[in-house]
Amino acid sequence: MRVDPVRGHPACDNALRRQLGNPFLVLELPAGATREQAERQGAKLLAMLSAGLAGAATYPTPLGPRERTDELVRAALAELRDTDRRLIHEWWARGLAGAEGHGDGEGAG
Amino acid sequence: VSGVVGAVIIFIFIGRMVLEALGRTPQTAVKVPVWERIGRLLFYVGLFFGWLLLLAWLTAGAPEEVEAAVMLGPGLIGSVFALGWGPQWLAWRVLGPRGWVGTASFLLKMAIHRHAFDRVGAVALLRELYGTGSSGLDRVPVSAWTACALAARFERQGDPLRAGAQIAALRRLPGDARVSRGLRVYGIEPLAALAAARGDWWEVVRRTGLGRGRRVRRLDRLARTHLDQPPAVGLTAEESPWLRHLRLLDAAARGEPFEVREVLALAAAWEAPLAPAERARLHQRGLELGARDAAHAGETLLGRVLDELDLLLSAARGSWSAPGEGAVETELRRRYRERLFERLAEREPFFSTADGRPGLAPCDEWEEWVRFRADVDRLEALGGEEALHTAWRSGLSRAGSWAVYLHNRYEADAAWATYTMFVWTVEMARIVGDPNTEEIFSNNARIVREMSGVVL
Repeated sequence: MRVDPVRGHPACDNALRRQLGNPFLVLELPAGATREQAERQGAKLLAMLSAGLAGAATYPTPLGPRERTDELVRAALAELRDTDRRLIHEWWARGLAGAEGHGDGEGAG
Repeated sequence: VSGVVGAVIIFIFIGRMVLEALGRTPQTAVKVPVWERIGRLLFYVGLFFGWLLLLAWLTAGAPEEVEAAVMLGPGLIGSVFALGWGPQWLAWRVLGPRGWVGTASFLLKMAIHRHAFDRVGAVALLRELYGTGSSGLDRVPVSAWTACALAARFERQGDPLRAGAQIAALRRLPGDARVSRGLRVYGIEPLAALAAARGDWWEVVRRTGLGRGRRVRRLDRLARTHLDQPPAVGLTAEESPWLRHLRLLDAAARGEPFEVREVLALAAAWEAPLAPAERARLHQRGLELGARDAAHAGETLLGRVLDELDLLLSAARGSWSAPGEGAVETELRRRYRERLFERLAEREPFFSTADGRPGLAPCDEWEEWVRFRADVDRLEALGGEEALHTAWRSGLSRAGSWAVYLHNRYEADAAWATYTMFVWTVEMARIVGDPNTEEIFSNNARIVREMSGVVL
C-alpha cells in the first residue's frame, strides 16, 4: 500500500517556527543581553552571512540546528527593539536556557 | 463422495436464490445480479471438481487404497478449504499485498460471505488498502467494512487521526451492530500494521482490540512490548515545561502521535512558571526594560501558552483524564469546551430532514457523524452530564433527525449506520432525561433492525 507521508498539524508547525525563531536563539544571545549587545551581534551575523561563512548559516535550538537567514536576523533585531515583545521573548528564552542549562547573563535593556 | 458434496453445493446456492426470491431473507441494499450468482456457482463447482480431477490424475495407477485415502483426505479437506477460506485467504494474504488487486477483488466477489454486504465491503476495503484507483466506496452501503475502508483511505492520505476516529467508532458500536468475522480476521490486521509501521503503539492496541487471529495477536503483543518500555522521546516529567512544550509542538508539526493526557500534563507543568507571583516578576522585569504594556505581559504570556496548548489538543488523541485543579488546565478545558459547543452548532445543518440539507454519499455521511459523535464524547468527558444537558437544549436533541434523513434517503444502504445513530440517540435521551425522544428513537431503531436485521 502506497501511503503519503503523515500530514503534520500546520498551525502547530507555525507555532513551532515562531518559538524556534526566538530572537535570543537566532542571535545566540543570553536572555538578559542588552540592546547594544543584540545590535552588535546582529551586525556581526549579517556580515558573516553576507560573506557566506558556514558558521553563521545555522543556529542551535533545543530541537537541533535551524537555518539562519538575513531575514531571520533582521526580524530578530526588530523584535528586540520592541520592549513589550522583547519581554515575552526573554521569558521564553530564559526558560529554554534553564532547560538546556545554558548561561543566562543579566543586563538592562 | 464428490457427487454428494457437489450436489450439496448446488442445492445450497439454489436454495439461497429461491429463499431470496420468496422474500424469506431480510431486505438488503446490495442487489446481486443473477449472472453473478450463476457465475459464483460455476466457479465453486468448477473448483471442486477440478481439484478432484487433478487428484485423480495424480493418483492414477496408484493402489486403490492410496487413491481412496487421497480423495477422501486432501480431496475433501482441500475442497472445504477452497470453498470456505481459500479465496479470502488468497485475496487478503497473498494477492492483495502483492498488488494483484484485480484478481484479489475477483476472488473476494466469488468467496462465500455471510451477507452480500460483506462481499462489497470487503472488495472496497481491499481496494482502499492495496489499490491505486477508485475503490467505489461512495457507492457501497455503509457497514463496518466501509468504516475500515475509510480508515484505510485516511491512512493512505497521511491522516492517521481521522483513520483512528473510524476505528474508535467501531469500538463503540451498539452490541448488536455487526462487525463480521471476516473483517476481524482479514481487515483489521493491515490497519493495525499501518499504525505499527508508524510506531503508533497505542493506536495498534486500539485496532488489534477489534481483530481476531494469530497475526492480530502478534501485533498486539509487539505493541504492548513497546508500550512497556520507557518512551524514546524525552517527554518526561523531569523536563522543563518550555522544552516539553517545544517537543509536543514538534511532534504535532510532524504528525507524530501523542495523547491528550500528555497535553494536560504539560498544562499542569505550566502552573508554576505562570503562577501570579511569576507574572508579577515578569511585570517587574517589564518595568526595568521600559515596556509600555508591562502590566499586561503576564496575561499576554498566559494567553499565548493557552493558545498553543489548545492547538496541541486539536492534534492530540485519546481520552480526557479527570480534571486537575490548576488554573491553566481549568482554563484550557473551558476553552476547549467552548470550541466543542461551536463545532456542534456547525453540525446543525445535518440535523435537518429538509431538501436543502447538504447531501453526501452514505460513507461520507458516516464520516461526518463519526466526527460529530467524537465531539459529543469529548464534551461529555470534559463537562460531564451537565454539558450534555446544555448541548441537548442547544440543539443536540435534533441530532436524531440526521439518522431519519439517512434512513429516508438511503434506506438499507445506510441501515447499519442509521441503526447505530438511532441507538446513540436513545442513549443520549436516557442520559438527559428525554423520554419522548427515547421512545420515538427506540421505535426507529427497532424498525431499522427488523427491516435489515441481516446486516446488523
